[in-house]
Amino acid sequence: MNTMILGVFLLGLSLVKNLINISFNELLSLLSRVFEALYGHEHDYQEMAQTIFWLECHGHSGINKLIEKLPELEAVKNIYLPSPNITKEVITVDCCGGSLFTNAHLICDLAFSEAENYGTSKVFIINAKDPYAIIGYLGSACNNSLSSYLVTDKISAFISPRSQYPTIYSNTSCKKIQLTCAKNHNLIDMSHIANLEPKLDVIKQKSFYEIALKNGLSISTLNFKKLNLIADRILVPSTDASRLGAGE
Amino acid sequence: MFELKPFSNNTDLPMRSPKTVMDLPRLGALYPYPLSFMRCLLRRVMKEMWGIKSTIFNLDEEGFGEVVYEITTPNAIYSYVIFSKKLSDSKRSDRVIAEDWDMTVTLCEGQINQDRLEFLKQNVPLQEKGRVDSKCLVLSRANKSMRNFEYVIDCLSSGKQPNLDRIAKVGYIFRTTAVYGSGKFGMSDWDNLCNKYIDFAKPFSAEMFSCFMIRHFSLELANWVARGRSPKTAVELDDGIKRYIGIGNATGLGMAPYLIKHPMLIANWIEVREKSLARIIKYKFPDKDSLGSLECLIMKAAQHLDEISTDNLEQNQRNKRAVNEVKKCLKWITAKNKTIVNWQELIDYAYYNYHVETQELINAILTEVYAKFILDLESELNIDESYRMQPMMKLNELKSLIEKNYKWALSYDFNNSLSTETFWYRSEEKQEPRLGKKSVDNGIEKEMMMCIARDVRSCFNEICDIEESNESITVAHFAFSRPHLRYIIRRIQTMGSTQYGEIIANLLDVDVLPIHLLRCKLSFFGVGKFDPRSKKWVRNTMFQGAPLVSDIGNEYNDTWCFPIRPKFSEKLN
Repeated sequence: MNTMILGVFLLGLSLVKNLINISFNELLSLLSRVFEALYGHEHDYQEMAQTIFWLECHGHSGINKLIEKLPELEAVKNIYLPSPNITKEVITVDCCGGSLFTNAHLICDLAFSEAENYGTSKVFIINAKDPYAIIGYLGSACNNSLSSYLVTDKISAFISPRSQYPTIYSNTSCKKIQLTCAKNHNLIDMSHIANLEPKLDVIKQKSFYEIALKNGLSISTLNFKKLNLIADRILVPSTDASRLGAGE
Repeated sequence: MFELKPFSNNTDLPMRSPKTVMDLPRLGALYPYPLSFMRCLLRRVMKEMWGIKSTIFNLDEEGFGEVVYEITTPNAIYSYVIFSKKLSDSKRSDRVIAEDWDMTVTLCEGQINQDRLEFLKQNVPLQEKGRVDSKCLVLSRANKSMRNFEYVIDCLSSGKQPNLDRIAKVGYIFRTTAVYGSGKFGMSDWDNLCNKYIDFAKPFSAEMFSCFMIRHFSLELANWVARGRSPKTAVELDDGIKRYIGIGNATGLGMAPYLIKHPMLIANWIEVREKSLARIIKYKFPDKDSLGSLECLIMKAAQHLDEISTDNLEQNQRNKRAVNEVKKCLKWITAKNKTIVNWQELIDYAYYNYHVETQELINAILTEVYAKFILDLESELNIDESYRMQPMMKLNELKSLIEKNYKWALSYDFNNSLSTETFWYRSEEKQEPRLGKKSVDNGIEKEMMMCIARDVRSCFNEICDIEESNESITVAHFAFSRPHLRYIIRRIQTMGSTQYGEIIANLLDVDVLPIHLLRCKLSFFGVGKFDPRSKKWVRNTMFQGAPLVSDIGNEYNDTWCFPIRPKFSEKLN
């Protein structure tokens, strides 16, 4: 029943004049072009796009989060991270005030790799913005063998092996962003969420995804235009000569 | 000229090696075969006896207006909606950047009411500039063939059938210039299509069906307009001629990036094809019946190639050479009739004596001889694509993977400026992919990621720069400080699990021939009669020789490969 109500709601939303209905394929392609326009081939722009895409099509408002962040992303061109500090117990990554939208995947790679090799890993992420991006990557990465647990100042998230759907909790009190991965989830300290009800559970995210896949995603026309404006920077102006480049 | 060991022995089937199969000129010589997508589609349509009838046929005497066909399958009802309009000759263009077309169409879910028709009427004719919704599966357009359409109408309206020589030269009266699916412009995503519209849950099935319907409409339109022009004298197109009329298609560079962006999919399609051939080689042996079928098909294929009319000198030479060689091969087979013990012998003979075009023609013919034996492989054509990072892989493992699977990529000299003279980019005109020359054209800073070989080489070089003692670090650590390599690392890792990983070519080379990429993909669609207009785009014919909508319900023989001129031309003309 809830699914049906949500479906009707989404369809209704798309009828509102300032919304546009787009497919998953269109959104992923658009985001990919946006990040390619922002960072060229110096970074894994497709993975950045995939992270936002995952958030959007699982009900986490990925597009709105990205749009809010765009001025900052456009201003900061150097998004390279300094080498992580690695000790036996913990890896510390300093994001130097940058957004995790651009490098959540790199940090998760480290966490996954250490946990695969040593059974468990803990990563402290400091001076970072947009920790929600980690959730986007954990969902889209769908790691086969690891449980992952993310704690930030506002939310916590736990995801099981092979799952695309983290369970999200709110109201944590952690000062820093902390990602723990383990082959055995019993090795992860999840005391922060021991007695909490999920803010967003697997069923809601799955349901959002399925309805959006069926009906398309409704996003603001203004946001769609903003993204396209950036995406179009990868296009080369057309000339009579360039038209020959596709074969007169 | 030939690799000495055409087959690798690392599986239980005698599969050809990737080095042989994935070489770009060979991929550009592939022919349609029984598992090509339009063949798969029509087997389903005919077996399940899909109902196709027009529910709206609102055209004026010149054939302008709208038509809706209702398609009933065992699972669902769909509508195929067509808008036909008057188009001046000057606006008629095959290019994707065209703005107007003779006919625009969409395939969509369910029956159509007036509101829905009005919505589609506002958007479908605009194509890329319109918006449709997730109930639409395909959006496409087509133009009249300047050479044939008016000629056919003139003949029919004056009571004659068109001359088959004239028809044979072109092979169609309408030509599609783009067929969009998979979520473009708001349409249903592929994943949704797979779950919800199982009638089209095979690769490009909905797109192929759209082309089949354009062909059907083009034939109905010809009859309609001829009757409108001269109701008293007009005759209907003969069914035999109708079957010989396909639907034209113009394909340009837009198809090439798809092959590079979806290597898992391409690897899978190639593997199914190779598995078909290998299965025949392993389990089927020449006997009187199969040799008889082979002979008939060789003669048919030779005639088919002989009848292709193209102004492209190189394609003509290729066709002629293939005809000569395949006929020589037939003589060899006849001479060896009693001594050929297995099909490997034939394939080896072709491999060592004929050009790649002929080799692939013979391979395609063999799959036709044993079509029923390989049809079950149709179920393996779909694949879930995902290019995930394996961050725990050790760097030395990645290096070994490159050395094992990408030796070809490491063989190019990217320090030679000619090896990187070409670049691919997207134009602001409808994002059309185009080729540029580095030393001449602007836009290199916005080039597309099309050169896997160069990216692999960069990755390999940076691995080699790492001290030997650090080679046991994980890929995660390596990519952390080299994020520009992460994309190619994911790809190398993913493709390591496929047999036919990558297309072996340097797509930046000054002499690159993208037309091979186009023909490779088109062969999987089932397209034939290639008529290259340059090295960047090709005209071709789809569904020529295929059954008509009116044939649905009749006994179906899946034997319309290598279409040839019908034999009754003298009687009709």
